[in-house]
Amino acid sequence: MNMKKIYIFFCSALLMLTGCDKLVEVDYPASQIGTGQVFAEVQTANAALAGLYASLRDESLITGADYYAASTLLASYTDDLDCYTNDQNGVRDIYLNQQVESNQVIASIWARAYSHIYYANSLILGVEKSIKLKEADKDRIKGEAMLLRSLVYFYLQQLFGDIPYTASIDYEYNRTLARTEAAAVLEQLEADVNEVVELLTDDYRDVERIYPNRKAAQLLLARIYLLQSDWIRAEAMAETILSSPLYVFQVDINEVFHKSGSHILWQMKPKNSGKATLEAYFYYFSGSAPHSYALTEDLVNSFATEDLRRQMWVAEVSSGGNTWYRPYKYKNQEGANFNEYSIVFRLEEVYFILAEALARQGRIDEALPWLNATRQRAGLTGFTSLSAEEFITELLAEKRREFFTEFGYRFIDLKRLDRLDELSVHKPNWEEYKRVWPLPQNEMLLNHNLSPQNNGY
Amino acid sequence: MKENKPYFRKRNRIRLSLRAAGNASQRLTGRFRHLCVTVLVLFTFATITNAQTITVSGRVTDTSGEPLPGVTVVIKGTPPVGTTTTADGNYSLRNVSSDAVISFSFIGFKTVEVPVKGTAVINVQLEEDVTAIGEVIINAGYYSVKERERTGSISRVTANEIKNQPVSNVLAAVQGRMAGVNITQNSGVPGGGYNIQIRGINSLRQAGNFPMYIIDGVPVSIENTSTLSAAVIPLGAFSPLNTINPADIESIEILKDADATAIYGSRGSNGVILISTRKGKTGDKAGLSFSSSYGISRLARKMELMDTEQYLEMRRQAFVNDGITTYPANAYDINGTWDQSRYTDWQEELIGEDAVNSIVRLSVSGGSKNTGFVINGSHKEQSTVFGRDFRYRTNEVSGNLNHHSTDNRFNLNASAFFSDQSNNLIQADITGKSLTLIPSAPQLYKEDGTLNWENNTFANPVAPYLATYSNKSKTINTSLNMSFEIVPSLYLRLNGGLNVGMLDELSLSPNTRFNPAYGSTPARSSGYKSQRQAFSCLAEPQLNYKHTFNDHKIDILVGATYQERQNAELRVLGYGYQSNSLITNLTAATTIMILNDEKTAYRYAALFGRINYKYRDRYIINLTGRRDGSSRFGPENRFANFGAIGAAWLFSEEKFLKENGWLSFGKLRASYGITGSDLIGDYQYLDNYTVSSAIYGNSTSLYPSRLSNPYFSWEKTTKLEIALEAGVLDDRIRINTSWYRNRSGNQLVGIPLPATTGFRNIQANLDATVENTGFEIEIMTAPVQSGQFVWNSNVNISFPRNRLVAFPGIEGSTYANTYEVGYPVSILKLYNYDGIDPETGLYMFTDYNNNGNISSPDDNRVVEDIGPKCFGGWHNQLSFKGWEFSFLFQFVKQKQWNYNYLMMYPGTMNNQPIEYLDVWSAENPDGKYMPYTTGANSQKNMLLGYFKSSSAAVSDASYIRLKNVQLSYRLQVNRYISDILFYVQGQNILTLTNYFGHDPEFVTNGFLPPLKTWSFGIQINL
Repeated sequence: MNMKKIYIFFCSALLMLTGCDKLVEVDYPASQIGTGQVFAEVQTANAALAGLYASLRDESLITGADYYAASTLLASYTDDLDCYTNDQNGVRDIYLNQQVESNQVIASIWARAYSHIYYANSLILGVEKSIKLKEADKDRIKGEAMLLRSLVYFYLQQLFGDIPYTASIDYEYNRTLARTEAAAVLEQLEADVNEVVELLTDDYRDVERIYPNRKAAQLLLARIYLLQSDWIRAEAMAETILSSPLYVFQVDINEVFHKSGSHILWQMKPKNSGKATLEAYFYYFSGSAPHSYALTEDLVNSFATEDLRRQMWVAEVSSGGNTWYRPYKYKNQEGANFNEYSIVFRLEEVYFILAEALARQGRIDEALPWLNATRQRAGLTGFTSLSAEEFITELLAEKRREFFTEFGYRFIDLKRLDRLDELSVHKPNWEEYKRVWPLPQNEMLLNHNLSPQNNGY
Repeated sequence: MKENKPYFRKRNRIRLSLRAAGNASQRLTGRFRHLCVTVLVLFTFATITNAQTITVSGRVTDTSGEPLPGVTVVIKGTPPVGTTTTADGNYSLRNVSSDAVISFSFIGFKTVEVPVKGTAVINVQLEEDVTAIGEVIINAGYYSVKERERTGSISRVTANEIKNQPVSNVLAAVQGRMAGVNITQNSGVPGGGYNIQIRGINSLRQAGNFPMYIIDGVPVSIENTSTLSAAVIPLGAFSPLNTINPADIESIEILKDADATAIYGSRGSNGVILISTRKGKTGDKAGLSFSSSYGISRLARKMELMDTEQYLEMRRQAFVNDGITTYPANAYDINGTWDQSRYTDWQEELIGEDAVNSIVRLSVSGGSKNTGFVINGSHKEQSTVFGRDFRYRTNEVSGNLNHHSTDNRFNLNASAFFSDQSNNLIQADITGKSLTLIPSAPQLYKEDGTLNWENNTFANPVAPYLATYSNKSKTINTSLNMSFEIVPSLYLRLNGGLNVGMLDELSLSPNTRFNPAYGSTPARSSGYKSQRQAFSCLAEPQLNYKHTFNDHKIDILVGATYQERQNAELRVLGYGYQSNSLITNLTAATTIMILNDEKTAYRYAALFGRINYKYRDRYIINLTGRRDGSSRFGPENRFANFGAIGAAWLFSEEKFLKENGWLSFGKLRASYGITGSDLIGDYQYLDNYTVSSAIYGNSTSLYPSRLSNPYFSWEKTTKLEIALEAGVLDDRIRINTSWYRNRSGNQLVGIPLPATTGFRNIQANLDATVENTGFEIEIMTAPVQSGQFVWNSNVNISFPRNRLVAFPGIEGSTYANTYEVGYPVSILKLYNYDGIDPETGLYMFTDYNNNGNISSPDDNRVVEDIGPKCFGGWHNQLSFKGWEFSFLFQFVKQKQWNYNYLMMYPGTMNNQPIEYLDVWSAENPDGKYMPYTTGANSQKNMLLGYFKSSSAAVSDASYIRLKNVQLSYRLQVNRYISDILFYVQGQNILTLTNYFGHDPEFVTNGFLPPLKTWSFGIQINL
């Protein structure tokens, strides 16, 4: 009798179990949304795009300034910043030009860059697949995501030379990627940014220009043409931007880093109102020796005494009889920042691109006004005549003074003009092979197709 | 015969209940009274054959309410007359004189004598007699089993062994006491966690190796890690047992092999830790116990570091070596900025305070014939070696109610715990800083008591003290166990529990912690606040059937489990304040960001069963099984089956040995089965985006959560064990030996991916097998057992061996640099350190691939295992009259990272151990270390980097530790105060080791090691 009861219980329990599927089902957690759901509405798709902007602003190569930012690292890798930190993670090694393949900072930069690329690819493929989003929204989101991706690739290419390129989110494919030659990467980027130019319009979707428009894409395109020594197209692209009524050269040096200027093509807005830009926050020190970075004497001495930029954009710090200099382009500290955003693209760069493109075509006289514009704004006199060689040297020096600690222009310019070896004057460890960084050791181990390592490492 | 039995039992039952009714009749009123009196009269006439004698009957059970068959029940007198209890614990004695005394005795239990005084029903609960090892009842979770009859591998520690210890977590007290259980304390910071490994590492995922914790039948969540404490509490891991006072624990059982763990199915792979708390005792006299203790803890080991003179000499030499003649502006220690005559012992200054701990506990117990209760309350305070006001406080209240009906068909056991903890600490451990801060560093405080930044040149190490971490947690655990005997031998049980936990954390960073050179104002102060809530409920209906016929005993259990757990977290960052005095209040922050607002759920359902069959109490077979479903897996792979078979042969019961006499106990047992692990975290199979607190252009943001794989499934461990247990000389010497082999496959891991995939890894089942084999010996002896003087001495020792058996395709895989087939999974791959080049004094490493430079993975080919090779403990307990003395030695044989791994480059602005004085030079060609560098010599920097991950950075870290020593005296007082116990205890008193570093016991390098504690206490029992 008892056995029978057990049997009945056992059977009913088994029956219960068939309903168990329901018992162990759970809802989505509060903070997560299914991928399909994200691209079903423009609000959530925009939020996903906002995530990419936020991540690029806070922790990426194109962050305004920090230990992982191109702005900072490349300025210290060249001759604009001296590094004072005792940190042993690798930022100091980069400053000393003695980075090795196990450098932790390089590994982080690489990993972050590819996570942003995945992120952009996921957005691009997500909107492409979406049937609910409007075409206009699809184009905009895809265009912006592709532009951001191209910018990340641009820096990766500049730092590492031949790099893996992917537009896929399939990890089986991405885990065995081989490297694409530098020239082919640039060709691919040219094609990508051309597509972006088609997808985006000239209209800013925010009056504060915190999202890039078609013109911002064209600026990146012009940069790529310069790298490809395609002076004619670089010139044409620069002219296109300059012909737009959206942009006006900022003549007041005090207004250059204020967010409302019409010389801004694209700037990144800090997380919250009142929050300082990373540039203002990171380089700050007073009353002591620097704790992270300070401007090199060489850079400071490259300014003429009357150069307004030396007065307005460089701050002096004295302590114990010593004097140091820190970047002072962005000034507002935490809690008191209401008029500065981190500017990514500004019209001055277009001037320099045009100047270089014209000069390379031997049209020095046409080029001179574009080179003189920033000089004159800084209270200096313009050049009236220069030889072709002098022109390039002066352009390099002028661009350094204008763009120091901004997005690694100096490194990219020296590299493009094949003048990196000039660094050896101030950088005893400089060697020719250091024009590219080593690929992270760990990545080489995880994906054998990345071999061989860059020469010299 | 078989047919007759139920009938007979039924009749017997009726008679019993009639008597029970008769006994209770005095209390009844109304219209039933007449009937009852009539029945009683009839009954009395029927049974009384002699005016002075009655028939006495009743039931004998153990303390958990389980009926005890075979108990000898005797009417005292000459000659004694008696009987034994039936299979369900019942007995009946005729012709008992109403003033007789009945004695109940049973092997393994304390004999009880009860005066009859005319009572017709006498139910008795027998208490275990701890000296008879074989008869001890072991808790196996869903069932309990006699030590002698168990088929599985279960280690046990009882309250008696760990009493009075000045520890806040019971895991600290059981360290070294159980074979196969390796416990490592993560940190000496109060409230820190423990790493516990039961028979080795099964999973390639660190988090996949946690055991399951069950308190009074209710599983406790182990994944409730803190989000804000990781810098001071290693891994942010709080132990789930922090919430329970060790003094409230009656026993801890650890289930190890397949036979014991397969009934826990998908959660049994890594072993199961069962905690039983003290139960109320029926029939107990009322008792009150008050105890209080006070202890002082200090750093157990200090490292010997360079003094100022040695340090400055190192620095000067480093500059000479680097060819730098003008000291740089920021070399404050040596360029004259700082006073070079100062000397401070920073270990003493920063982590050398006396940490004080005090405990007060009150326990009240009482009961009647059917009901017993116990209520405990305790308060505990612990300060830290960091000094200041850092303090860990706990208040605990717990209670238990135990009831059974007079006819013993119904049993109830309800427990509830409430724990209130608060802990405030520094935000980040400064143990590492105390070793590297230079001895001539400036003073910490100025004359006026404010922090000294030495004109902004000094990163003041106590400035981080201003950044604090604190938590407050409240936990309520309740559990309920009910058992009802539906018909004889068939029991319906319900096991259930509720668990509510709240954890509030606050991590504050006032701007004043930063060097004023950073120019920060309270606008840069920040405060993180996290509030976590966890709720979990459990329901486990079970049916248990026990039957005995002739020499056969069968015990069948079937049950089902449903569990649900909900977690919620709200984490907020407040940033920018007008003043630091407002920092704890988020509303005062100028910017408030919600970093996480999350709700998650976990659901789990299962069906389980056990069939235990015994023949002649000599041959035992135990079958267990479970079918599990968990919400952690995708719909494709939600269910799985687990099960085991165990068998035992008590060969000492065989005639040919029984007559022999010298062998008091002998058992051979074996088990085989499959268990699993679902410790993967919730929702890992979903393809989705996560809401983030990062904001861009006033829009909240979403980011892709992971590379998704909806198909992964359970990790499975196959366990095999063979064991021999023997007792000789009346069990004065007991030896348990066991050999096991566990194989874990279907490894559920984040497979590392190159960054080009956008993520670091993807969750998937890896086709690799990890094997743990081992040999465990436990020897329990009682060398002296004279009436007054008792000496017990126990030794346990384990020899675990871990091996990666198979890993198809490891060569091309992402694990090639971490693991090696045929070696343990706890290996490190290191560069081979070749000593110092006698020409240049530089470190040399073997260039295995002869490519001219040292690089991974081709040159780090030296394999060192940092898993334990052997561990165990030796426990002794001696008592003489009221005196008791006990001590426990714990030992581990292992290798570990040594200080070379943590080393800051000698010659930089960091202090060093004196070992680094032995530097190579032309005059000292035997020097062990490379000449110093200030960091300017890139070749040396590179070599130092290799050195830190070379064979020179791993060395012997074996140790023998006097883990616990205790002396106590129990004073018998008078009839009002029963006794008073005085005791003195020491914890981690002595450590013998050759280890080069702070302390050989650690999980994550660089945190505060376990402390040495002396404590004094008193316990008053009424």
